[in-house]
Amino acid sequence: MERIKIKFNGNEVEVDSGKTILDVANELGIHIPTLCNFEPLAPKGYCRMCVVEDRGALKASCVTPVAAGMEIQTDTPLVKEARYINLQLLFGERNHYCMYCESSGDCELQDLGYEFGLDHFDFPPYERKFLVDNSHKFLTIDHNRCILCRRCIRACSELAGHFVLGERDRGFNTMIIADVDVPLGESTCTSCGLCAQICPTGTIKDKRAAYLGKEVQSDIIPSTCDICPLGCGINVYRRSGSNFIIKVYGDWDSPINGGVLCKLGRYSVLYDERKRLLASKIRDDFGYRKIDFDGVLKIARSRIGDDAVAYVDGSLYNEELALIKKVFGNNVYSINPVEPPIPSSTDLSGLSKAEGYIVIGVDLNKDYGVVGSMIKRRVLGEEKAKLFVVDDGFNSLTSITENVFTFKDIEQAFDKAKGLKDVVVVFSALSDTIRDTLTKRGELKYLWLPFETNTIGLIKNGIKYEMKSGKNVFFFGKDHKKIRERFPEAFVICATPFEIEETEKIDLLIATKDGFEREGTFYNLEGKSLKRNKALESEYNVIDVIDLLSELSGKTKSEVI
Amino acid sequence: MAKKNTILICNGAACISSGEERIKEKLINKLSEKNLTEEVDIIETGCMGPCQFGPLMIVYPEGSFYIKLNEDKIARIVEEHLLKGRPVKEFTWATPESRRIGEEKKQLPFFEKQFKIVLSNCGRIDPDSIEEYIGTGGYEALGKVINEMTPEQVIDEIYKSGLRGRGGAGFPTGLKWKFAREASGNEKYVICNGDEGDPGAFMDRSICEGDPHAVIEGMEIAGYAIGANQGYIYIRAEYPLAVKRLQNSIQQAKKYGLLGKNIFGSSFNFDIEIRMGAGAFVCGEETALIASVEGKRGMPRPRPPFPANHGLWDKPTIINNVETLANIRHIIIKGSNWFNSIGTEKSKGTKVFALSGKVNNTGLVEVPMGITIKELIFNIGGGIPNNKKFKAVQIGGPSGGCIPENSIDVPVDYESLTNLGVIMGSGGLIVLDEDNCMVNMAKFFLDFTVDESCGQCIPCRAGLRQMYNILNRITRGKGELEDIDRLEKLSNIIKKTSLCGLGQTAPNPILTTLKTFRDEYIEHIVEKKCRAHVCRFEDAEVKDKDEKILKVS
Ligand SMILES: Cc1cc2nc3c(=O)[nH]c(=O)nc-3n(C[C@H](O)[C@H](O)[C@H](O)COP(=O)(O)O)c2cc1C
Ligand code: SF4
Ligand code: SF4
Ligand code: SF4
Repeated sequence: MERIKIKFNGNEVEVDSGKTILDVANELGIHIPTLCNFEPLAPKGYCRMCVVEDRGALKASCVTPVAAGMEIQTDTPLVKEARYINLQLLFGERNHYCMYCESSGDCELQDLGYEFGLDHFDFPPYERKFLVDNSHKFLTIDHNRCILCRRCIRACSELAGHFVLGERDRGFNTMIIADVDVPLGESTCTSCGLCAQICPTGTIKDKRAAYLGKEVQSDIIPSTCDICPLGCGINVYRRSGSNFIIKVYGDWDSPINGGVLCKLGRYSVLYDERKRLLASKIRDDFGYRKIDFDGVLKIARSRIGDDAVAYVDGSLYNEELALIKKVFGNNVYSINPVEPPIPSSTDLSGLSKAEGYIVIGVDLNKDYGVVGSMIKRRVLGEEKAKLFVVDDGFNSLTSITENVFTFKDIEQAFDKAKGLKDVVVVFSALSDTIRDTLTKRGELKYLWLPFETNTIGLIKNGIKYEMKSGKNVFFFGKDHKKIRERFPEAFVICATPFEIEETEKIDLLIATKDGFEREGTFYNLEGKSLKRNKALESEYNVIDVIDLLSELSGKTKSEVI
Repeated sequence: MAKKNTILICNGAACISSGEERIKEKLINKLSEKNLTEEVDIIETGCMGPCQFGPLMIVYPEGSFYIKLNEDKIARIVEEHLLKGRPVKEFTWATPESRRIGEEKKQLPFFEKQFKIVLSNCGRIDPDSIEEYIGTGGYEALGKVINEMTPEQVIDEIYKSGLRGRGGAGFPTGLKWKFAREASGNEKYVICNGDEGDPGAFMDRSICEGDPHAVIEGMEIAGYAIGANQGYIYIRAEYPLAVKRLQNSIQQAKKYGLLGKNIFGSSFNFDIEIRMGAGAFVCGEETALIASVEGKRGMPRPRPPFPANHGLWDKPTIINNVETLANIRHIIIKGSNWFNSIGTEKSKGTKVFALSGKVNNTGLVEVPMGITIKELIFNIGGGIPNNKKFKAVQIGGPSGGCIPENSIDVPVDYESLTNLGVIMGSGGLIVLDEDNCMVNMAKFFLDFTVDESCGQCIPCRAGLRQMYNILNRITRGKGELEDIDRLEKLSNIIKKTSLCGLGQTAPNPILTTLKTFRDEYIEHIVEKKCRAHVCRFEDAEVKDKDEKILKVS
């Protein structure tokens, strides 16, 4: 990169020629207001708030590369006037009566209004009326607040890869639309919610988060999503001084997801309707009876011994697994399969470079949403990567590619993918036949999507998927559906957060913490250890598995963690 | 056998719509009725220029220019002129004072001051015949370039000629080619901009319809010069005849080995494809046009990077206007010195204008640079009809501006026009007389740009609309004097901060009229009076632009 000399607010500086004026200003710590520009998105220069003066001419600093001889002034009267008038035009374009807006206090447009001291409207607001699209389960779009910065469109395509949002018409009639102009709720929207996260105004909002609190009223807790083994970075907004979550945002700085989340990661915590186990219970001849922590400990201790086995699932964190091994020795097994049909031979960076993808038997939009985003943005975007879907049942990915094959015809997918340089096969579980066909294909790279969040942790701890019986069977985790059926004769102890139909058949139910009440680490699909931070206190009479296990192992908590 | 007479019948779009097909049929029937078919050659040509007099035809060798033809007139012309050799003078064109001057085309005042380079074939040859084009020296320039010149020599020749882009901005064509030639990359493209979105403009259309091969030849030479093998002609779908003729010409040129692989037996390959645009004004802007050719929404993007380095599919690309490209072959054959000798110091060659509005002779004219606006309107245009008083001329379309009466001695060249705050533009010239209200006229153009704004950047999208609202108030007698300040302030910021040329120039009609016709604005505001009696104040209810309730689904 060439170094060039320019003048910045009168001072000569030497800068890299590839940078924009805004980049340089940021490095120099000079404030330039921006609105449509947002770091992970390609700059577009729509809002003109970032104009600066260069020898008499105004230039949008976010899109203008520095050039030798420039004399940049960031704060001249002309610059101020231009920004002020364009800001007035933005306020006057649609309806920005802040006191009736949910975003007031959390709005980048309003912030600029304060910065520029807007105390009146130059142009009459309320000139026209626009629709409010309330058709979506999680989101609402109030077009009256839209400033057409198109951050939502760009995020939906460039980052999330869904390519749902777009625009119609032109000029001041431009409207943000979904698909071919259908209500958002009827569109191909996957509910990843990134548009709401990136919208600078009160246009696209999370319904459940609305009116719960502003950013300044929140504690923002960095954490990791533990719903699937990808491990997306998140920021949890908890109402300060309260014990509820306002919203979950993707962490823009996360090397894994770069801000993008899927429907599960963003909304499950706000829409969780599973029935919590509110207290630990023991079953006797008269039915269930509540017991406290000491009662639980007493019974559990009495059941640990050579004839006890422990089953776990992939929802447990590494710290919990380590303690379980300490207590049960080698008698620890996984209730679900753990071994990859074929081990991964590439990682996420390999995935984001490939020219072709063969996705076998997983609906990425549904189960591994952000992995889906990584692939879709390359398939539907400029890179024009090729997507091949091999599946027998319904798979929503089939709507974005013509290359759809049944398991029987999997060879055809390989044939079609032939000329492509770098092809990654993405799968989770595979039948033996498919696995054998695949292993013969040396030219392909594999990315295995582990079955559960911490499946890799199970593998690393040497915990196998096996059926071993004992007189006393312990289960730790969420997925206790099959336990009773498998061990009809045993005394079954379940440490679990939820009640399900099968719960009634369990002998000792230990109500545990869940979700953001827990903390710990797990290994994601790349084998990276990720930390999940706690964001909530539990409100029920529930037990932290770690507390229970440390007692059972005879250690104090501080000794084990 | 030499034919006795040759008839050029104008097949330009205007003549077609005024019944050229019917006239031609009648002529053919009548000729065969009189057994003259063998004696007379009929050639259909592109636009001849004086469109308001169509349908038109010229009968050679006499050069009688027949206008406003109908079936009866055809019958008489065949009987009198073609059979008996006596031209029917009362059907030929002459202004009242020049009725006697004669029929030779050159002597008509409409043509006298014109200087035809790019229009030299329009109205003279059959645009559907490559043989006729070759007969006028067509494809000679291409042959010369390929056989005798290096690409650098071609660029140098064009640069020295002083040719500047005719699409509006007047950028030196040779320089643009040089940048593209020097840009790194093996794949490069040539795009011909035939979008012509200005309301009422038909210069480029007429060239494509009347002399399509000249455009193709120009593109090929450009391709040779910058090292491109592929060209695209971007033309609006509303020009079906131009599309048809270009398509036909491409096929003919390929058949003759003048386009495609190994042109003139050399190693130079060049192919051309036609891309049709949906007719948005902004698609004429080069970066929007590129997006449109790529199959995306036709939206401009910030420059730099310029297309010469990052153009179509991110490859080096030159975009030239139709008229620019039609000049190329003449420069190559006659030399840069010849071209350089026409025009003024910094503006060389000629410019085609579409003359319209309150002027006697409307139509297509080609004039040397440096001619005055006065000559254009009063000599070529024949002055203002109905003894009305000349008021101003709007030049450069919706992004241009007004030249008032006291400035009509200004020479038509890029610099002089820019000094007046107007632009050459692509060649629209609308003459206004005392019955035109300048405020209303400014509003009319703004209405156009408001509708055509692509809506990406805020100054153009919302600023122009606010200006329109203000003008709307003023023309309905609801304005206030502060509105003039508001207009000026908005204009200034919109021009300075808009992303593309549309917004950067859209306030021009307002700014130029505010400068020279400020009193008319004040009259509207203070006296609620429109001296041209165009604006109505009675029902002075301010209704802003039609409110459309926008729906989401
Ligand atoms: C809003 C807008 C519309 C334009 N429309 C046209 C057009 O219709 N035809 C054209 O040749 N150039 C048009 N231009 C200019 C082109 O962007 C470009 O400068 C031109 O095609 C370059 O060719 P030239 O150098 O031969 O003039 C337009 C520019 C703007 C900003
Ligand atoms: S979107 Fe922002 S500026 Fe507009 S009304 Fe809401 S808070 Fe105010
Ligand atoms: S909805 Fe929000 S993000 Fe999208 S264009 Fe409008 S203001 Fe910008
Ligand atoms: S100036 Fe107008 S046409 Fe050009 S990018 Fe901005 S909004 Fe679009």
